[in-house]
Amino acid sequence: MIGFDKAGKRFGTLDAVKEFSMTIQDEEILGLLGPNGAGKTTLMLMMGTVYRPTSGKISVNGLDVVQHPNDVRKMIGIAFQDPRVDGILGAFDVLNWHLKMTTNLDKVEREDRVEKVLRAVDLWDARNKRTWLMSGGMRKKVEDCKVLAQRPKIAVFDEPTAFLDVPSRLLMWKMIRELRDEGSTVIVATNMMDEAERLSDRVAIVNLGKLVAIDAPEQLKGKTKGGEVLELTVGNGQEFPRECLTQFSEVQDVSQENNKVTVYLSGGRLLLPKIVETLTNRGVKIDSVHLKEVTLEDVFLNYTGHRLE
Amino acid sequence: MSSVHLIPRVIERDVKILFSDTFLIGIMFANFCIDLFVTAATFGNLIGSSYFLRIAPGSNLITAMVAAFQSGRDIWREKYIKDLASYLLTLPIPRKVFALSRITGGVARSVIATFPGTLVISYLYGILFSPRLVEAFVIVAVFSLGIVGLSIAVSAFASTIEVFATVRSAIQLYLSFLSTIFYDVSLFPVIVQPIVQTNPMTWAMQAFRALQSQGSTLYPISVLVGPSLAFALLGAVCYLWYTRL
Repeated sequence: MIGFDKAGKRFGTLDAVKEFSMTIQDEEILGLLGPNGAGKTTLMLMMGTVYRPTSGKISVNGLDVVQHPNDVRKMIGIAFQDPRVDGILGAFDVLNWHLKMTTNLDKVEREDRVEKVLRAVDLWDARNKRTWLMSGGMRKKVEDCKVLAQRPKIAVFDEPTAFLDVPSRLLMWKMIRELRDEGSTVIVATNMMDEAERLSDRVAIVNLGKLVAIDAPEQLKGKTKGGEVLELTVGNGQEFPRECLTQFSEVQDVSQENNKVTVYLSGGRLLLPKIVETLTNRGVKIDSVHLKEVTLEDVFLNYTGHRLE
Repeated sequence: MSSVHLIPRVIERDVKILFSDTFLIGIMFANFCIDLFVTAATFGNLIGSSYFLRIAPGSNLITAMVAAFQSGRDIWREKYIKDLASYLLTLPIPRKVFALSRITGGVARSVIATFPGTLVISYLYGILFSPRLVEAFVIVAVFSLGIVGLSIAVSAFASTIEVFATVRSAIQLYLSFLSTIFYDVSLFPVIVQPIVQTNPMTWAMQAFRALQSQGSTLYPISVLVGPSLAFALLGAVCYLWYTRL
């Protein structure tokens, strides 16, 4: 179990992470969802003992990361957002050395594990190619493979499918799930909604260094007011008469970002004609109307007030 | 320390990286050959063959110095260019052991880079097939220890490669020209002589010359050990400072 207890990290005058409290259960995949700069990487590097928390505590399986850094490192494997590999070495050497440093496998077991993981991600034929000569997608696979081959108790992936094509992305998700099924606790930082939704057992929404919500994707969507979302695009520069929609008891909340209005409601199909009529009577020019089920993106918007773009 | 078994693995990586860069290795050996066979041979023709033998170890030690500074440069690149430092710091190896490994790795790289040169000089001095060959390698290793420490200290504080290169040049200038590679200490101005006498290069050269004259290397090596250990300690402390949690 990993515990963040009011953890914070300050760089100069910037609070990258503030009062962050969260518990990650064993053998779950936790998605850390947030925009770039939300503090996801800082959280992971604090957990991985690279950064010292400036406030609060972080414990990994009962061990404080500041007091027992090396014991914590023995449990964790981190695949970074930008591949951190020796460019002058080939993929095989990079992974083999990583396993030498992080596992007690003998030579045969180690090389067997490296071969299996490289074959699985279709990099075996390029195993001796210097990684700085590889494409961004290939390098990213090598980075992910470090953790996939290591099979640590706690596996951390920062944007694991960035630069990957769709088949490779699906394969990576499958391999990450297998890691969880073998007993690892997996943390996946992402700013991709579908990745968070399809891969995670639970999703933690992080914004401006703070935890704003954490639950299973379906639960998060269920908690979102109303259960349905009506998206309206109105004429540019028009002041939107919020109160004329909140008069309906089915409307739970209304938010506006530029000319996009989001209405959280229930029974939207029946209410839609009334809403359009009311707004038109108030002189609002409606360019488009879209009624849909709540997605994780709506949940994010609902909690943070802005879209994840 | 239970992580001591990881030291050879860190050294292995450092050495592997050195050998992966064949261009760099080629440049170092070319540098050595130019120094030894062109410059020294020319001086030998001008002044006499003994001068050739006298400055030959200097060429080798300059190569050792260059190789040692490459360790610092690699650590600097890990931090600022490749951002590998954050990855390396997540590995399950205590920071002190890691610092020790990096310094030892740097020494290994220097000894390997100067291996042919040390053999050539040992042949010239007639000790190639004698147990004293080991002393030649010890001199190179002890000298490199200090320079690796210095280069790591510089890498910890240099915020740009220009700063690193400038400080490196200043140190290399001091080590090369304010030492007894080319001249006896008595030929330097009196005011400069204390600087020359406290230069680690001077004592490394004295040790090699003791090999040449079949004398004892114990005293010059003992003197050399002091600054080398001090610089290595400085390098370790600086490395720990910049890798602190």
